[in-house]
Amino acid sequence: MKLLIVDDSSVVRRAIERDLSSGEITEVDQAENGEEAVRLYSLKRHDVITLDITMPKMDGLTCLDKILQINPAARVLIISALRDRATAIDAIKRGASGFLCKPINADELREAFQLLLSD
Amino acid sequence: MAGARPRGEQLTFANLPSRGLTIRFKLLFFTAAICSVILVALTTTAFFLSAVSLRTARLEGFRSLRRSLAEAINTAIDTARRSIATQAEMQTCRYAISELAAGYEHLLDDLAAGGFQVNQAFIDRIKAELNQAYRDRLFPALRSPGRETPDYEALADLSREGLVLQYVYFLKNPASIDRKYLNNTSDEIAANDALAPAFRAAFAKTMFARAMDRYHESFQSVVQRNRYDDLLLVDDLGNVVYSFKKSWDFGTNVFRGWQNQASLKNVFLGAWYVPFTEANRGATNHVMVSDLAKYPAAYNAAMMFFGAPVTNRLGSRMGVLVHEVSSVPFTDLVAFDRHWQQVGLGRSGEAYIVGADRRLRTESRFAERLPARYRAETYTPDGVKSDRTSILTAPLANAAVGKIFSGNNLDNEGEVTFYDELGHESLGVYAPLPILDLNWGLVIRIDTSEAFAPAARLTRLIASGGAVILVLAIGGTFLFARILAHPIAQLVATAEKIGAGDLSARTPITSTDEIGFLAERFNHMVDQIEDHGRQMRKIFETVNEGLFLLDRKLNIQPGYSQATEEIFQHKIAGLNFLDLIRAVPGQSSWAVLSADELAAAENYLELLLSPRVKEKLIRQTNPLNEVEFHFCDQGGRPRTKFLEFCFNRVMEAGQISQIMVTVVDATSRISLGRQIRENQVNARLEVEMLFGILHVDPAILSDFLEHTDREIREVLQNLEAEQHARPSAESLAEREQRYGRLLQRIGRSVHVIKGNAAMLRLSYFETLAHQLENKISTARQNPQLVGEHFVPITTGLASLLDQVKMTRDLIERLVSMQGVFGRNHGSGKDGDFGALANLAVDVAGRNGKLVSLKLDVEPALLTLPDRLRRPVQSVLAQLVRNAIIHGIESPAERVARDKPPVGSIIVTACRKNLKTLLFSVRDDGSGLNFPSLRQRAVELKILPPDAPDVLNREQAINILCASGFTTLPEPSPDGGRGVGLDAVKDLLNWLGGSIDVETKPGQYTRFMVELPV
Repeated sequence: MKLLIVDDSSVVRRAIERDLSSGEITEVDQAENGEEAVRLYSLKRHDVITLDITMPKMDGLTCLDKILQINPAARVLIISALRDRATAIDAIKRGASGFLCKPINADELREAFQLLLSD
Repeated sequence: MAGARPRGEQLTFANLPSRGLTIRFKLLFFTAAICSVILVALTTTAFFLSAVSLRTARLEGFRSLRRSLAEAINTAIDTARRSIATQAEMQTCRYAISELAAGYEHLLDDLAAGGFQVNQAFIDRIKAELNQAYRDRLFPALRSPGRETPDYEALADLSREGLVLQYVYFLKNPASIDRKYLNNTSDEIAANDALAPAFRAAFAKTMFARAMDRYHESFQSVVQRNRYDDLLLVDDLGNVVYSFKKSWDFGTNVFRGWQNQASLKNVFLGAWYVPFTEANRGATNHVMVSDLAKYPAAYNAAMMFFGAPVTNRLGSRMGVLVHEVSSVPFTDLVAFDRHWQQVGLGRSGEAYIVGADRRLRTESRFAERLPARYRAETYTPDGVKSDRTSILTAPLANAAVGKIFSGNNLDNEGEVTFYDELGHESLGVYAPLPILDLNWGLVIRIDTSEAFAPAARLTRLIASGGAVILVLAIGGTFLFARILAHPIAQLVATAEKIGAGDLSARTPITSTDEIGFLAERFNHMVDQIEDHGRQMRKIFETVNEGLFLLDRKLNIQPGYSQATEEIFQHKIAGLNFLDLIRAVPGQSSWAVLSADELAAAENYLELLLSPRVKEKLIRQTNPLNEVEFHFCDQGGRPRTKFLEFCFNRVMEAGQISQIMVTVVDATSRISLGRQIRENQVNARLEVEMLFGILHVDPAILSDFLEHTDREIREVLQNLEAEQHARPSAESLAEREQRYGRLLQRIGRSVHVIKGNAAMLRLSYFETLAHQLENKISTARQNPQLVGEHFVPITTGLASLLDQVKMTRDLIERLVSMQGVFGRNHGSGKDGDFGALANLAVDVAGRNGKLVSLKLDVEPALLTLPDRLRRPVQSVLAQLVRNAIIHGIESPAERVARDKPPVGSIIVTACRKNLKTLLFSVRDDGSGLNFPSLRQRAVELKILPPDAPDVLNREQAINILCASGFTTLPEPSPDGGRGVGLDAVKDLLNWLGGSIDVETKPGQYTRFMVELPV
């Protein structure tokens, strides 16, 4: 199981990695902007991507579109602040699988992760 | 269930758009249809069966009738032939024709011999009279459409003898025109006054007159017996020398005039030229018969002639005997003397004879009803128009006649159904009549309506019987349908009631059949529905949340919880959810949402309806989880609520069918949250105030508080005093002045307080004072100062005073806290030194040593001066820690050195002199090992390597207190970092104290600290 965590804050990245670390996950990649995320994804085709929306260089929505272009079935979980809610809905309309709101609750994150993987 | 109203019109079976027929009607129709079909089949069958048998019977009757009629006609003709044949052979006939022919031949000579010379004038006169008679009597009958004027000359083409005979026997005969056979004797002629006496005398003596006398009577009896129309004798020259009737043909010649056209000529010729042998005697073969034809002498009535030659004994022809027969005997024959009913021809049947020209030979029974072309006029002998006849009129065109004369001998006899001349459908039999010389056919027919009348009657009977049965069957079915359909109708009525919302309706169970069972199950089902409905209603009534369903088009479904309407304060069923939250004109509530937020809400709901997205994964995007709602209440006043919406999918058969919406009025929770935030801000202010206070020098703060307190109290006292001391004699201006002074005084005080507060950065006080100053300046601007103007100032002063009190309270609280926290370390019998014992136990435990700490403190020093308490406590703690770690040996070591296993530490505190306090910590451990101390110091580069070998006390202390010095190889929580005594020394330096050490190796170590008071 390969996980790609995309967020411009290293603290958030580390927190997500810590919350999700389990036996299932064999490989974790981190990207601090959209461009890097797209590059990593095109190389490794991660099973799950957590994606922030507000990021430098390339924002989350553009990144999402590019990832979905590479693989329309990619599982992308948007993790963003509450004020981005309209954007999050937009992202889900575009093809993201779900949305979690910052600050993240570890249990919620794990549950969402299980749901993402359930099919 | 709030809002559970039937949508639109109430649904009933009767107004169902696509409803069919009721069971009752279906049964009725079915029965009626079956009965009708049976009825029609039965009547048709009955009709046809009976019609066929009737037809057979009728035709059978007709055939026998035809046989007997043919027989009778044949017999009649035969009889006539036989009769004429017999007569012609009689002696009388021979003599008569011989004498009459001779008399005719010699008539004019006989007249001349009798004394009357027939001259031309006489002849002309007779002719004129005859012409007159023709014109008057005969012509009308002879007139035909094609020939308006009959041919006079042809009619009157008579011989002189013929003219004379006509004159005597016809024109001048006094008998009426149809009875001219009277007055024919010579005596009667002689007595006829109408004749000239000379002529009549001469005529009576003629041979002809005498022959007439002799034979007329015998012929009369023959004619009357045989019902002949006339009896003629034609001589060998064709002269009609005898006519019984003495009609228009008497005296004519069959070869001259109109007779040349008549059938009499043919009969004469036929009879005259028929081969005659002895074998003919007694036979009738030689009798000539002519068909019925219009005979002018009989006023164009149809006549047939039988002619038989009269011969003498030698067989030579003398003339021809002719019988003239009308159609009447044949008509009488086929009319059965008008006994149609008896022979089975009923009211519409008839029999008739037709000739080869297809014209009637006998009178039709319905002659007067036939079309005009089948009817011709008849005339009396007087030439007067009389009856009408159908004989020899237009040819019949019906199928029966056609078949007889079709020329096909195989088919010229049989039965046929055809339309007769009256247009009636007829059933008939037809056959040719086998008569010599005559080509006749016989038709017997009857209207089918009459022929089959019994069948029709039977059919009518069956039909009416069937109709009765039909009515009975429908009645029975109605009854049956009522019995059968009644429970169903009750069921339907109940279902309609239930559909209209009346769940208490039940259908009565009236039978034990399937319908009864159905009704029972139906009731049971309604029970369950009602039960479910009740439970649902209870839930909807009880639940505190707004609870409703949206369909896939986001329309709010009827049936939502009672709380829903309380939350939205209006009915929402049928509304679109987006309209509910959108600000729609005329709606009393709307959500405060930006266009983006509305779009987000719409998108969110759309996502919720999309099966692609997992519900839980998008729950947090819910943009309506906290929405501000504006309402207009009944009075139109605006109100605000905070609503929390929660959306859940409702699945049906694996499909998202609806969205369940839960809405909670979260106003109180959210406003509580806001209040908490406000309180937090206030608390922060208070903390800021606290820090403000702490920053100020306590003495100055105390001064400030005291000054402020005093100032305000004074001002307040002044105010009170001014109010009470109100001199009655004081003028308005005086009082104004006094108030102004007072205000000035207050203003100055407040200004000073404000300045002080600003200087001390007590912003809170500053703000309050500033506000108060503003109030004072406002009051000053009033042109007329009154007592009331001081009220806000008094309040402001009071709040400032409150603030002083609050600050004091805060300080008080801090002081009391300090007291509590201070006593934590120095409370109990050991005062400020109590904590040392615990510390010793903790450190010893961590380092595997056993220690007992003893205190030897002067009672006066149990509570140290504030300035010294913390430094002393920290210095003593460091020294005790050092004693345990570095001084006291482990219990095993101590036992080996003959010491008790529990080490002893003694802490002392005493006043050395008035200005100096002495503290010491003594342990009974291994003491300080000076050589190793020196070596260690050299290692740590504290001492130069060339330092003296023996250290004195001062040098030892310096080493011990050097920064970074430690004897322990590894650092631990309690020591080994070389910062302990180093820090102690720094502290003592700062306090102006000193440290010293006494030690005896293997015995004890004692650190002593001196501090100035």
